[in-house]
Amino acid sequence: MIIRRIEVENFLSYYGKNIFEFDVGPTLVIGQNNTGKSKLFDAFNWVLFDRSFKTEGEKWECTKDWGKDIVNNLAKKECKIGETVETAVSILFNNEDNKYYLTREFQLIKNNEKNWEIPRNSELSLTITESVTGNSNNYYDKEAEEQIKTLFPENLSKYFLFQGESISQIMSLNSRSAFTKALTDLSRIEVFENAKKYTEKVAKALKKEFEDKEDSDKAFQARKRDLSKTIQDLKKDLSDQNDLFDNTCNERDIAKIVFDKNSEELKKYEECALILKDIEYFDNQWKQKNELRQSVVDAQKKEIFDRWMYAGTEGILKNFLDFYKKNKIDKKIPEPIRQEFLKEMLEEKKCKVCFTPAPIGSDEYKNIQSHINDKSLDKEIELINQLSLVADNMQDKVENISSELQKYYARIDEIDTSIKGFMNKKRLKEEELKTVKPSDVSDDELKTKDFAHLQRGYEESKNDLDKFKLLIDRITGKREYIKQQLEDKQKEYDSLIEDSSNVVERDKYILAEKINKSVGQFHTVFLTKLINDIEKEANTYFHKMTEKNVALSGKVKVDYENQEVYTIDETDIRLQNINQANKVSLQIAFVAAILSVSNKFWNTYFPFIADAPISALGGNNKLTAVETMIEIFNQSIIILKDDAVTDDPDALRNDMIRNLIQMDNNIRNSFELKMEGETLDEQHTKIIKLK
Amino acid sequence: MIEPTVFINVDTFHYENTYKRLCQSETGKLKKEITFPTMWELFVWGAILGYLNKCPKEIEKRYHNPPFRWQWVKDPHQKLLIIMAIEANNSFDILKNPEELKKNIEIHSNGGLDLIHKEMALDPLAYHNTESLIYEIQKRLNLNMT
Amino acid sequence: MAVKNSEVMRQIEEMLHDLKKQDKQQYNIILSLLNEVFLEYNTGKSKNVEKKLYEMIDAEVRYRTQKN
Repeated sequence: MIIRRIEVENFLSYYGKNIFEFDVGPTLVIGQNNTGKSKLFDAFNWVLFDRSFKTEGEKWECTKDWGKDIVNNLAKKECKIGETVETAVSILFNNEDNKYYLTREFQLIKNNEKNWEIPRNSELSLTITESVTGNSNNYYDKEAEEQIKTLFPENLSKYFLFQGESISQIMSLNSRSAFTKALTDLSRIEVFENAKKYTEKVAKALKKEFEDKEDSDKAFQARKRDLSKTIQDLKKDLSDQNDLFDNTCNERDIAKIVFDKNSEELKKYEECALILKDIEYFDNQWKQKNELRQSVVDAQKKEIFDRWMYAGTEGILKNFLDFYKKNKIDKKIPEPIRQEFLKEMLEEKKCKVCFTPAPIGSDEYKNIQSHINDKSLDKEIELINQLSLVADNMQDKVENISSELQKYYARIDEIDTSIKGFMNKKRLKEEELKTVKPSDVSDDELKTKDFAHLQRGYEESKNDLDKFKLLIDRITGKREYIKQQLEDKQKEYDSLIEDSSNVVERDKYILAEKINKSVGQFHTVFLTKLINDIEKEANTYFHKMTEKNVALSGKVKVDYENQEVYTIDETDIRLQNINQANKVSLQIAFVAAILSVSNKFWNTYFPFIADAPISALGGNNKLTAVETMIEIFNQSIIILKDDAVTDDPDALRNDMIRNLIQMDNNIRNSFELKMEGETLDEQHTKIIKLK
Repeated sequence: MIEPTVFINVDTFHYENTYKRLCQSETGKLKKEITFPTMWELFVWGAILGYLNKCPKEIEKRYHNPPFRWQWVKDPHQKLLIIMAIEANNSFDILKNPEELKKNIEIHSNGGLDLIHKEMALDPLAYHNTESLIYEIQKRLNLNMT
Repeated sequence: MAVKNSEVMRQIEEMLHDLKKQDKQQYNIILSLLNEVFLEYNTGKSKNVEKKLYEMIDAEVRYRTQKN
């Protein structure tokens, strides 16, 4: 099957009629963000399966749910009132000897600037032209859908219409997964189920025939009946256990979906939670340091008003003290004479300073007496002496102020450095948070996100999952036990009936049982072989990719029992912590393998249409992955983000991918998409043919 | 000796513009944020500036309700003010005249407050908290060094 | 176009290869059964497969018994 062309008219970001031509081999479509790349991918999905991915709701929606939003804004703007605007996507493809032209159309009628009428849902039409005869047949709506289903099986659609961002869904192997659905189609399980149904019925009928026909030996007949009943009961038990096993597996699958979702959610926010914790820590530290700073400042208050405010007065104090000393030396400051001492001298009638007698009435006595009331002089002298002590004391203290201030400033600087440090660290963490935070979550939402609740949710879902796993193990054990018992009883029965007189009935029953057993195992064997084939193919592709890159290694393991796909080493041990390049290569290999095996069953080569298949890879790995995809698929249409204008070292550089386009002769077609238009209403995709 | 109970005169202008701004909780600040815990401390600070810069200034209009008495000025600040007055006059004689002594201290404080007021006019953040007081002290020391 | 039964049948024949050697009787019946079931599935019409299976087994056993 080769897709030749897609025509996109007034669909999402595409205004007017836009045509992309394709050929066998690869086509690369590149463009910056929001240039219409994913919308081209949507166009394929819409025309084939009436679905487009709505970014806001993060889900696929049909035309009915999209409504008028599926029509290009500029086309709607230009549409006159009362008139119709039409959206259409058509693909032209070849398959075997036929040419197919499939179109999906949708209309809107403009009632007024804000009101649109949708006359009907989207319509599908298909024209099949036989290349040899030139005869055409037309199909519409349901019939066209039926035809398309046989050409593009919906269960395989997630593989040939590959969206890189939903890779985790495609890699999941649970019972609801795309993989299981694809396998269901490929392994023709319904046919085998039907065959099993018939063989069971016939075996049952023939067994009844054999048992109902009385054997000539009564004891034998009785024994036969008993054993048969025991076997019946065991089969019933086994059937019950099987049902229980299936139900429990279903519940486990549901639990796994919840667990995966919680896991993803937690992981998304865990990193944010750690960063927020750091931010909180740095913020607290910053606050504490600020408080410390303030307390250091406040603690100086006493010093300020006791001493520091006298800073600079050294000169004044020195002058005073010098003045005092000079006056003392010049005896302008007499020694204070204590009143009590004077009284003593008067009592003793003797001068105790020069030891001259001073009898009452003498000049010496009168001299002593003259000082007795000179309290003011005493007080003044006392004050002056006190002042000198105070000045002396303060002089010492004032001299130290400079060094004390230095110590204070050193301490403040230290704290300021610390404050600045925490502020910087907090700012860096805030920057980091911006890059890690999910784009659809605001800062406030993140801050109020209940991480504990997320963690609890994760733990609970993990416990549930473990509980089911344990239960499944138990049921499996019990089943094995019953199977063993059944086997033993069956052996006993088979041995017994060898002596039956009803030979024909017995032989018919035995043959029917054998056939029933073989057919019963058939599907399992067939499915196992299918999975092995897929694994083998996946390894071929994986090996191709790892050959070119020493950072990639291992083999692919499709573990259907445990519902996982992973890589293993040479000793079959699962590789842990594989790098991103390895992961994406594994994904591509797996998808390619499924398509490759499907090709055989469907006897066609499905085209591989991929939207952002390698967004998680960096630089050189991207190029290798693109080159491998080009090689693997018969036809591939690969839609890539063009990192032309970024400085991001991990981006696929402009020159790398454009070089590839120009130099690789296998790439016959290439397009670049750009967005034109000033306002949101006018914006539309412009296509530039690069090759 | 200055009578302990005697009131210390301040200029009305400075009472309204400097004392109230830097000392009182009526400014709306929390108690711990007020730069000068008491008015007499501002008085002393002003006096120190007045004596250091040798810029006494007569009180133009005495505030009718003097805010504090001499005895509220705690030691050793009382003595240090007297020391500075003696040094400025280069004589102990001022001690004999308590009125003159008190006046000397008051006019020097008034002159110092003028300097404070001018500085606040140039820089609204000057004297607005403890840290800015420390900064003033550092400035004084830097000037002394040069 | 649907999943090519030819490919599926080819794989089934590959799987039944051992059985063909061990128990040709069973092999023939199973192969016929599957052909019938595929036909019934593709055409959507009942082919009375159960009855045919019953008859195939019956015929085979009676033939064997007679032979002996």
